[in-house]
This record gives sequence, C-alpha cells and structure tokens, in this order.
Amino acid sequence: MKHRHIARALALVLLLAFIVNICYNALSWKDTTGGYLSSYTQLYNMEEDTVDVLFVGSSHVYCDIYPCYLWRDYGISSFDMAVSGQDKDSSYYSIIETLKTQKPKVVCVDLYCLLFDEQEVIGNEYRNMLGMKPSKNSVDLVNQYTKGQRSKRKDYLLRFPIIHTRYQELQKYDFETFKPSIYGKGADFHWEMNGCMVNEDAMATETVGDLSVENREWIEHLASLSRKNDFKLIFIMAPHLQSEADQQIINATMEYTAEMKIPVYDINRNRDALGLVPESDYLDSSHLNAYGAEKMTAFMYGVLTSDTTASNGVADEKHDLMDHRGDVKYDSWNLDLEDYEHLKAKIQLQQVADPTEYVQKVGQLGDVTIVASIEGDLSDKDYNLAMSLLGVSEDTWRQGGKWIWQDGVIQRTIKNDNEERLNYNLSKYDSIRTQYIGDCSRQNVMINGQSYQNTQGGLAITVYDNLREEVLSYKEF
Amino acid sequence: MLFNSIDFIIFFPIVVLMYYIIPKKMRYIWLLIASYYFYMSWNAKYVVLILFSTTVTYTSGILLGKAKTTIRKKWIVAFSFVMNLGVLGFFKYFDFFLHNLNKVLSALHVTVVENPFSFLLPVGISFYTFQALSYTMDVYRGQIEPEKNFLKYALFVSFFPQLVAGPIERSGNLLKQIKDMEKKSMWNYEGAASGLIMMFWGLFMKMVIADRIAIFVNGVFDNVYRCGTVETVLGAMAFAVQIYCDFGGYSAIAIGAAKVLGFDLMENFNAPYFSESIVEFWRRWHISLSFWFRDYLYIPLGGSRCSKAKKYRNIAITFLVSGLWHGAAWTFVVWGGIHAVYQIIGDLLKLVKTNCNEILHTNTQVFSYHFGRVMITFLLTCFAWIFFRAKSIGEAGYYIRNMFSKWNPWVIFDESLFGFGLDRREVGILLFAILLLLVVDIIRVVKKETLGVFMMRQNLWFRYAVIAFLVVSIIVYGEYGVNFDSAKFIYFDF
Repeated sequence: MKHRHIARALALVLLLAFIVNICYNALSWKDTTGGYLSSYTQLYNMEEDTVDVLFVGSSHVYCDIYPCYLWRDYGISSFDMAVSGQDKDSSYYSIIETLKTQKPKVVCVDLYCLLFDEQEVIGNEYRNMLGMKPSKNSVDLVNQYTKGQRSKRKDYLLRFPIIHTRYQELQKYDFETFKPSIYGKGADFHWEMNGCMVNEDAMATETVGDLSVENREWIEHLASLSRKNDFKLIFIMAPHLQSEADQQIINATMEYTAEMKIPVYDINRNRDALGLVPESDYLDSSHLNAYGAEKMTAFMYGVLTSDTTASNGVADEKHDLMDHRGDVKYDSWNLDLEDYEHLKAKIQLQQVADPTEYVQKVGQLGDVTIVASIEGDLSDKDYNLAMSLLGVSEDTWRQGGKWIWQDGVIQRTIKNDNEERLNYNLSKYDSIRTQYIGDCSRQNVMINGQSYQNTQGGLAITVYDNLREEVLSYKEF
Repeated sequence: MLFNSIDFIIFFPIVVLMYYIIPKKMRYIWLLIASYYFYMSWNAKYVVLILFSTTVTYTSGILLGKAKTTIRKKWIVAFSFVMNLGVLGFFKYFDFFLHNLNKVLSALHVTVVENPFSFLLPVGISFYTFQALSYTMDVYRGQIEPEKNFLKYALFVSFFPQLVAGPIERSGNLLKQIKDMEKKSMWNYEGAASGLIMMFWGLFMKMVIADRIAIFVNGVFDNVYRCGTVETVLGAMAFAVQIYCDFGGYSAIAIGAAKVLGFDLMENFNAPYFSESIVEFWRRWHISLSFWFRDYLYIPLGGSRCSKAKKYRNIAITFLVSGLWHGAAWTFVVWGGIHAVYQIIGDLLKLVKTNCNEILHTNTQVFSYHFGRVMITFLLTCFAWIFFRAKSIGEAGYYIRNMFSKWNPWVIFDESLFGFGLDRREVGILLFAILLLLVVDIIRVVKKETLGVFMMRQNLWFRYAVIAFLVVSIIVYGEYGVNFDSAKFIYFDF
C-alpha cells in the first residue's frame, strides 16, 4: 500500500513536470517584435564545434556583420551571438553559453555595452534575460544582472511570472520553431537605406574619460575567459551615433586594453577606411544595412586574416581560419546564405515590372515553389518568354490556367475550364488551393485563406519560399 | 507570505518534507517555528503582538484551571478579553476612533487631535485574537482543559495555514489535534492528496477567478460616474463572486495545507450563494466567524430564547459588531446593519410569506421555488456587498443611485462592458471559470461533501486530469507576475 502511494505521488509529480514543461515551451519568451528571430535559438540548433569566429554584441553586431558574407566569400564559419541592447553581464554569459557547444578560435566583442549599465528598454532586458535556456549559466546571469533586486530576480529565475500572460498572443511560431531561427547565424538582414547622422564633436574627442570599476572588471573577466578557453579576444566599436561622453569611455578603454594587449578596432571612428557611404550603407544612424554590412564584414575578414595593428596600437596577428565550404557539417551556413539570397531577391523582385525578368530572377533562386495563374482577356498579352522559362508553351498559356512549378519542373497544372479543385501542400502548414469559379475570382488561387489571384486578368505569379515556409513574392502582370 | 506567492511555493514543500522526516515528538516545534517564520515574513516586529496574545490567553487558561470561584474566573476572563481586545482595538480601531472624534470636534469648532501613532494593521490580528479568546472562553466554560504546554498552545494560536485569515479554529478541534500529534500516522496519502486538490482549487478560485473579476469590479467602482443600472448591478454581482472566490479560495488553501500536514480544519464556506435565506447564508458564509459570534456573543446576549424585541436587539448587536470586525469604517457597520435588517424583516415576514404561499397555492417543494429563494437571497447579499466594497457611505449611496436611476440596457449589446478592463477573451476565461465554480458548489450541495473528499472517491485518472487542468489554469490564466498588481487576499485586512 505504502509503495503504491509513493508510486502515485511520483506519477503525479512527473505529470505536473510534464505539463509545466509543455506550457513553458509554448509560453517561453520569444522575440515577437523581432519576427521570432533569436540568436539563442539559432545557437541551440547549430552543429556542435562548428563556429570558428564568434561576434558578440547588440543590434550593432547583428545588423553590421553578416556571417553569410564570410561564408559566401571565404568559407569562414562565423556566428553573431547578438541580442538587442546586450549589456555587459548578458554579453559575458552569452559567450559562456556559446562555449558550451562551440570552440571559437576568435571572439570579437562589441564595446557598446560599456556605455550603459542597465537596460532602458524592458523588451531588451527580456531578450537578454529570457533568451537563454534555463541552466546554471542563466541563473548566474540573472543573479548578476539583478543584484539587489530580489523581486526582479525571482521573476527572471522562475520566468512564468513574466511569460504566462503570453497566452493572449500565442502564434504558430510559439509551437513550431521559426525556420530561420534553426539555420540562421545571428544576422538580421535589412536593405532599407535611411542615411545616418554623425556627431562630429564626439568623433573628434581625444579626451580620455574614466573607466568604471564595472567596465574594468568586465574586460578583465573576458580576458580571463579567453585565456581559459583558448580563444583570441578582439574588441570592436561598431559604427553608431554616440556622445562625447561615450567616446571618452572608449578612449579610456583603448588605453586600458592596450596595457592588456587586447586589440580594439574603433570602426566607428574609421568609417571612411571601410568606404561606408552615409546615403546608401546605413539602416539608421546606429546600424548598417546589408550594403554597409558587406563592407564591415569584409573589413572584419581583413582583421581576421592578416597581420594588423589595432586602433589602440596593439599588434594583432592573423588567425588561421579554414575554408569549410563543401563540408556537410556546415550545411546550415549554406541555408543561411540561401535565406539571405531569398530576402535580397524579395526586395529586388518588388521593383521588377517585366514578367520575363521576374521569372528569370526567381529561377535563380533555389528552394522556391512558383505558382502562375493566367485568366481573363489575353488578346493583348505576351507572356511567351516568361512562360517558356517555366516550360509552358504559348498554345497552352493562351488557354489560361494555373501551373505549380517546383524543382525545375511543373508539378501540377489545372486548366481554367476544370471545375475541380486542386489542393497542394506547399509545406507542413501551408497549402494552396486553385480552382476556377469564374474569370478573375479572388477565390481561384488561395494560400492559407489569402487570395493570390490577379482580379484584373492576366498573369499572376506567386513565389513561395520553401526555406522560410512563407510567400516570398507576389506580382501581377 | 501570501499563499499565491513564490515564497510560499518554496516554503510549504520544505515545511511538509521536514514535518514528515523529523521525529514525531519534534513536529509541533517544527510547525511552531514554521508558523512564526510565516508570520514574521510580513512584519517581524508584529510578532510581539501574537506572542502577547498567546501569553495572555495561555496564562489565563492556566489561572482559570486553578481558580476556585466563579467570580475569580470571571475576572480572569475579563482580564484576557480586555488585554486582547485592547490590543486589537488600538491597532485596528484607533485611527477610526480618532477620525470620527476629529469630525465631531471640527463640527464643534474645536482643534482636532493629531494622530501620534503611525502603524500598519498587523496581518491577521482579528483572526488570531478571536481564536485565542475562544480558548479562554472554552476553558472558562469547562469545555476543555487548560493547555499546559506553552509551545503547543502557541502553535494553536499561530498555526500557519489559518493564521492570517482563518478559519477561526476552536480549541476543541485544533488544539486537540495538536495535542494528539504524536499519535498521528507518518503519512496519510488520502489526506495529503485531498489537501493538495483543495489547495489547487483554492489557488484557482483566487488567481483565476477572484483576481480576474477584480479587474472588472475595480473598473466599475472606480468609474461609477459613467455607470448605469447594468454596470452597477453587474459590478455588485461581480464583487460578490470576487469576495467569495478570494476568501473561499484562501480558506480552501488553508484547509488543504493543513490537510496535507494531517490536520482537519473546520469548514469555512459551504456554497454560500445557494442559500435560500440570509439566515442560511450566514450558516454557509465564513462559518467559523459566524459560529464564533453565535457562541461567544449572540447566545451570551440571550440569543433567540427571549422576547422578540430582545432577539432582534441581539441580532442587531451581533451583526453590527461583526461588521465592525471586518473593518474600521462605517461602510462595514452599515453592511452588518443591512444583514441584521434582512434577518429581522425576514423573521417578521415569516407569517406573511406562509400566508401568501397558501393563498397563491405556491408549491414550495419544486425547483423553481427554491431557485427563486436562492436568487432573492443572492441579490440581497449583492446589494449589501456594495457597502462592503465602497470606500465611503457617500460612494455607496452614489453607486446605488446610479443603479436605480440610469437604465441603460444597450450596454449589453454595444460591447461597452468590455471597457472595464476585461476584453472578450478574458471575459470568456472568466465565465468558464465561474461555470466550474458553479459545478463544484452544486457538487457540494448535492453530494454534501467537499471537493477534496469528492475527488478522492473518483478514479485516479480523473483526479490527475483535474489536478493537471487546475495547475495549467493557474500557471497560464492565473493573475500574477509582472504587470500584475496582485491584490492580496481581501480578508487579510480584517
């Protein structure tokens, strides 16, 4: 009897643990305003011991350094362990978290976190405190960050006091991991050009300010970590809009790190050397776009692969980095690059007005499904070239219809006189339904309840991204 | 330390685990340490007060045991009451007294008296004072022997599950169990499991229903100026549900926690809104307090075995004092007064009601008759709750004026009711939770057993499913954590 009671009690405890775990997985904090992208999730999904270069920092890192460029051009496997508004504690413990599964040869840390002590944006605090999986390391981070704030510490340690109200906003990606969070390498791709402002006075400041005890300790802890884990530590100062006081802290850091022989690259004050163009290379005053990131990443390649002298005068020897292209273990870097190409194409395809050019560009992309629909009066239309690229003759397209094209071949065809519905699964959760219930009806091409039919007549092309599992582009011609 | 706090989630399993690990002889000491730690987690300084009350009533008990004459015994009882009620009166009613005195003085154009003291109301002072006084009375009446072991008696006064908001235990029940602790078995699975279910149910009542519906109640009571009949009626009904789930939830957790430790506390709520009269309501609502007032005030005053006039006087005194016990404000006195009036009028109209039923050939055995009585009683209690919730008599009056003067049925349809803090989704969750509450109370009335006992008779898979459901509901839909200013249990203030 006694054993049976103990067994029942244990069963109940296990059941409760199981339930709490299920609830936690769904409700756990996710970067909903960041499109469900998370460097931590990407880290946890990465093959072990594959990262050679680790970039650590805030949005300045994930906007300014694209690992896919280093991969595309040089085969270097790098990763942005970057979280919005990353503070000193989060930065330090994120490296420790990364070192659990990775053995980077070089770790480049952005110094932006020296310029503030506490988060000003609660969302950024959540990103840094809750992104990490619960572990001793996450507990250490919370304890360190919330020193003297008992209530806050309990909330972060237990997590449920913060996350439980997320039941009001649960979406697909709370139950299914967002694909780019599986294969992505930390960067957040942007092509917008919004220009930038520069504080010239701050840039010209040579005054050396005070380096706080906390900042010194942080640098020392990182140096110690680098010695213990045998990686080369490099500091960078990514371009951003800063004050004179900020620059004084950086100047002090330069001196302090020079004594410790740790190289610091003040890219913020050497923007011209990178060839950054204010009008075209900036997302905003503190972040680069994809064009600027290409230049900054190339600069970092130079830093990594040649003997240089850093901004603080420390001699920095080149690092022996391998080209991993072709190694299946590094496939996720290929996916990350492909994802970048897709998003870049998404921007470019918006500008294309000619169907042939559109199909040509789409044809260059891998992992896409193309859905073409032709309806209405076609007498004055000429889609010959575009449709021939998809393998559809003029006689065929002039009769109208719908074509689903994937992996270089037409997978399904449905004519406009066919009253039958064609249902086709694009991915695990996305499906297309094509039918003909009258010329140019919105219902003729539907993906997950959304219409992709040209209601004016003519050609409509929908490009579905098999990688991200979402519609990449839709255009009417 | 609140029952719905992280501290308690850590504290309670440690207490239980240690309780069953340590030798039986040491258990009461362990519980006493735990209870004092529990109390001191609010305000360590106020431990002096509970210690004072414990010492006074313990000494009174010992002296009563030794006293030979009735007159001497009466003096001892009087001493115990004066000392305990003196402390209670000073900490709870001094502000109220001074406030009213100053009102009179300023009306007479006399300089008002500055309050020389500034202190918070000690948590649970009304509860443990009454519990300790009941011991003095029980010893005086010869119903129990004086307890000689001071530590065991101290545990009786401070037993943490019911320390700060009851149930107000009797020495014949709790003290006896404490004395018999060593005879208890090591581990009672049935009791512990039943207690655990009660605790989860209590947390569900508090965190899912009470704290959620409180948002709507606050929305209405803070915005009475824009409320008409529909909002004010719903607001009063919602507060009735809130206070029931708040206090009933607390009691369920207290009873459940005690049960896990192997103690049976007295029932405090028995589906009160299924009462068919106000008299019955008070037999189902805050039972431990009702019985306390019945045994130690109403009956000593003469109870009902006297003339009608005296009986009504006794009812009035009992309920006015009960109102004042709930809070140092005139609103509580009025609330108590209303309940007294309900009872007196109910008694006066008894004959009229019987005659009406005969004339109208009303069948008093059918569901509709009972349902009608339940509804009328519920509405009457809801009306009285307005005074309980309002911050002043004037505010309650304004609330009631709006209730009867601004007939606005359209708000039911134009969705403006969602403008009081709860959106459609939250209202959906709330209604579902209230439906469950209704089911549990129906089980209580029909089966005449508590949820814990009822559940222990069910199959294991069903019990586990219910526990799983409650845990998920509390974790996900409970009102707690960041951005939630958790209302502590309402009765802690009393």
